[in-house]
Amino acid sequence: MYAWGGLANVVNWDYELIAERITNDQRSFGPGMMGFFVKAAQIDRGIPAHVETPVEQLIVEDGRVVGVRANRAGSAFFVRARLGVVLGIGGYDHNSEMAAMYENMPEWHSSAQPYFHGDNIVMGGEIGAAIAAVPPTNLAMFFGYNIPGEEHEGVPLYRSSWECGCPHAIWVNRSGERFCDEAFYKDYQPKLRRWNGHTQSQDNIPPFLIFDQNYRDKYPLGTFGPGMEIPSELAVQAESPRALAEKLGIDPDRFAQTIDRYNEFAAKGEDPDFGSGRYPWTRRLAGDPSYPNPNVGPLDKAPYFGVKLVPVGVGINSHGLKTNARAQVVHVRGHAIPGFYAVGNSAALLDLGAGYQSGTSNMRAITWGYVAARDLCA
Amino acid sequence: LIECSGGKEFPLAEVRYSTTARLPVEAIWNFVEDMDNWAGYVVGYQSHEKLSSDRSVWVLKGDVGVLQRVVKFNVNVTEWAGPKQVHFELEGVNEPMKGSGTFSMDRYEDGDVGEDPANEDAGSGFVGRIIEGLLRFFQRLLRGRVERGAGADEGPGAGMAQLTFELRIEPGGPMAPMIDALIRPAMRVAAEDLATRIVARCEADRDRNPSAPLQPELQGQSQQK
Repeated sequence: MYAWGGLANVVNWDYELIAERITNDQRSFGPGMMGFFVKAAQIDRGIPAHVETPVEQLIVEDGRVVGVRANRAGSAFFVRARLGVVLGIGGYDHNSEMAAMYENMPEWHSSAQPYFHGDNIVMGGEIGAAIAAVPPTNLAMFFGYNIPGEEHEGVPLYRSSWECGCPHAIWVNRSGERFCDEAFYKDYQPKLRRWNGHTQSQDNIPPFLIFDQNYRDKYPLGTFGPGMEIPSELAVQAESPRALAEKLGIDPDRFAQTIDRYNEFAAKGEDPDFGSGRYPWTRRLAGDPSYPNPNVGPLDKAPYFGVKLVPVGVGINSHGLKTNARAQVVHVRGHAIPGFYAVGNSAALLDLGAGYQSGTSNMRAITWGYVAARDLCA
Repeated sequence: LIECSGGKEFPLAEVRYSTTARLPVEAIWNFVEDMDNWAGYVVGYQSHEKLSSDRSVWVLKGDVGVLQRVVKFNVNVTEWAGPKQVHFELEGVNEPMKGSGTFSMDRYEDGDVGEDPANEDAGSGFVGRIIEGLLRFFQRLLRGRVERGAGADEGPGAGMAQLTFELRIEPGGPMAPMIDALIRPAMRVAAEDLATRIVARCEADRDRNPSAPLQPELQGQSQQK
């Protein structure tokens, strides 16, 4: 992806090679890695996998987890565990009530598979498991949008927005002001969550993605490449910054001032206010290397476009089951629950804290799965 | 063949499916010539709007890999050659793709019993087979199993009909090769499902009431200007 020019150059990626890999069943990234584990378990060792059989309850005898009750086609399906139960069922991305309660993010949506309903919290809570949180904020989520009509297994699919890493694109809040380095999620996440005691609100939610025709001439919005019409349900369009602000319901005077100030420095490849383009990672991921500052370019060509963004989870949550160094789930009274383990995104990110980088979710699942298995067999 | 951004040629996504019917060609034609009759049998059908006898706008929800997208097509019938053939061309309104299709009704010759060799196995590869299997499963789940009447598998006999549906889709834009690879397995299922449903419906209606005209059965909404 980086060799093909990153996200800014997505229209020129090698789609012939991608098509060849799809046709030949070749996988890469996470699915490619998971293929080895599926093969090792199901093919090499013949371990059965009960698909479409969701686990609904832990079975406890004398304080020890000894099995699970699952639902198979409407009937109870019990599995007894000789050593213990390892929960690896993700978090609550598709449980809007839990997301609102734990993430403090209005209008929470998700780009993850629609199977994560917070069953880790429910089943663990039923037997006294403690819930832990990542301090001070969840970096492993993004802001984005739904392309009208796009779904994932019957549920609207929300895409993370990376457009603001390209030149000619910024974020503003309802006041029409920039508030962060839009290309760097570790900067924008805590600033989005900032609580203003004077206004008694989160001033930077929702953010609005703003771009101009310069952007449209070169880069896509989701799957809408240059030259393709963007649906009016997705993006608002206007001939001037002020008119765009009025359509979006943000302060037109301050928005016009924001655009003027941003353009003054962007023409020189500078962003003295928020330092966009300072990191090699943001420049390579979404920046355009043909620009002096790959993440910065002026918004000075009509028409102008605006998209209201919403929180988009990626399956990684700020709250999960509290576990110890042996991957055992910890009871609210402080002791480990015998026979009960949690790994991956079912467990709180106490190992990483607030840190996050792409791939750490896979790394945690592998590491803690290994730790749990060793402890079970000890 | 379509030429991709890198200059390399890819085969156009194309599928052809034939099935036989225990009915005369004219009975199938009477049903097919009015799109309202069979619109609801198109996989992913949401709605269609007839602008004229030749032009219509269709909205379908289609599978693109593991995702579903709502796609709007302009469809233009370029040939009404009843009771033999209908040919149409289509162009995406909100997606860069175009294509064409044909319904062909042939008189079945005695002795041509069995699967039509023209039926192509577009779902090649492990992923293709998995996707095709899932699509079949969900189609049956969501829309009811297609049941053809007793004796349907025995062959229709001389003078009866063979229905063939051909569909070609050419995605556009720089991602065309990838889109092509993703939609190809679904096209085979879509063609088979449409042809089978049309025949099953015609046979069932005729079995119930041999003298009654065939009635439309829409699952979505139809409008006519």
